[in-house]
Amino acid sequence: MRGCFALLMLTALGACSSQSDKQLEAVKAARSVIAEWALVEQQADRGQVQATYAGQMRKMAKDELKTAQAGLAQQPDAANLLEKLRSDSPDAAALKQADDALKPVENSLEAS
Amino acid sequence: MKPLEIFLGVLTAVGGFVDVSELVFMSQAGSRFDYRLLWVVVVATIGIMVFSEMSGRVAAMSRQPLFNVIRHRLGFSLGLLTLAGALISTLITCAAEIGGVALVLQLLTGWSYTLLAVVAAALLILSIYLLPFKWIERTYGILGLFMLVFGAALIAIHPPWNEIAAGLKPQIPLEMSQRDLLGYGYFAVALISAVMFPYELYFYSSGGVEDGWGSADIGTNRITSFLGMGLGSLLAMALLCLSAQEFGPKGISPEMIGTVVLEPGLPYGKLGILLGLLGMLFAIGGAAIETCLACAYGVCQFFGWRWGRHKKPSETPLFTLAWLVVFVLALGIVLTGIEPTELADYAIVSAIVVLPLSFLPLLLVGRDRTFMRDKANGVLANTLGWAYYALIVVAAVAAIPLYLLTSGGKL
Repeated sequence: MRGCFALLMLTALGACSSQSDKQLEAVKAARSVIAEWALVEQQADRGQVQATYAGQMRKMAKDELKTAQAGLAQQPDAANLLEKLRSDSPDAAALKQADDALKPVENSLEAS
Repeated sequence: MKPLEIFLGVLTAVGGFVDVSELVFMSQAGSRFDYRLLWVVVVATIGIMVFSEMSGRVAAMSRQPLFNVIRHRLGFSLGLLTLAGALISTLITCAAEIGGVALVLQLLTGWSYTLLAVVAAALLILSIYLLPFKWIERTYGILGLFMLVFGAALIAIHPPWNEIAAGLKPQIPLEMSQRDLLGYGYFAVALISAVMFPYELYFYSSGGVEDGWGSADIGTNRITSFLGMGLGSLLAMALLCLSAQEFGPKGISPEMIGTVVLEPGLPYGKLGILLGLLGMLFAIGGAAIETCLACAYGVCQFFGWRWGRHKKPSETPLFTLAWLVVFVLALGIVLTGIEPTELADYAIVSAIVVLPLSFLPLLLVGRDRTFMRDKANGVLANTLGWAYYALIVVAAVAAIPLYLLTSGGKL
């Protein structure tokens, strides 16, 4: 009985993870994906990756950002930024800029 | 002992050591915590060496694979619970591996992920059906040696060896924030689970029985377990170190499996990416086959059905049906659209919860002289075995709370 109660409490704890935690998770994931994408673009510019690999990584990065965007509905600026990245073909510098723009959002969520 | 057999066995163990969960968790642990979790990989590697050697020895001496032992030692009810947990955990792992193979194929060909998942499952089924048992393991294990490009990449980038050496020292970085400490704890548990996956023992001990091991094979078992796992673990540690060096400073905590291949891609360009992708393809493909067969072995051994890939499929209809069903179910999970990285998260947590029940019967039989005669556990094997058992019990208890509190290490 006590074990069941503990399990219930843990499940409740997981389910009740705060809205800001979910946003923090989304912004952290988005920043990492953007950095991964930027690295791919940087290597592609140098001719160091296969075209197929680079193309697929761009596609996967856009899919990942879509998921992150859904988790950032309460951060409209951040969500719009991700939307813009998904609809454009950003280069490594633009991606770096986007990453820098998301940093304050992560910091504020981290502090809350 | 036949030197060629041992050599091939060790190569197979090295090439087959890394799977999709290790790719994900080693890379994320390295980028997030630098080299500070390396010691956990060393601890877990010694653990898997101890238990795989023990499971191989039990298989050789008693001619019993792990799930026979589990049923006899735990009784039907608890044994069935263990089987159910093992099947769920291993099925999820199998799905993660099939998804991983499909992703790698997608990066190589640019074709649709869904189509490639179906193609991957079909090719893996054909491999099991067409190849003799020994060559199933060897083909994937030896081709998985393309993964050595990750080791070469680590040497090529001249990492700070002194910092790597410092990471081998057990440590709890108390200077971290509470959130980071919880994350550190979660990744420690995840790395233990990734290295000590229970399916590895189910497969390894069943493989020993399939190969007809007897007391004369104890030495081969020992060398394969210690050397194969040890060298394979070096490869896993290379993944962690490369990530700490190349990804951490760039703010990358790989969310996409394809990013991992940039580790050899940065020093070696296109060739590094190609070799890395091929290594991942065969290493993950081999793990998919091992997980699938491990499920089928478990069910058949538990219920006393005829099993074994060394027999013709018509002689073992339920075993054949079982592994086919596992592949179909795993493919079904992949086709729901759950990402392989997410499946790897679930696999890791479910595996660590199952570990204590899987390892206990092994420890009990390993020390039993009526079964093992003069090959029963000695003082060292018993001491290490029980010490590791205590460690995995603690890890199993901590796994779910840490998963929930850190959102699977993402916070």
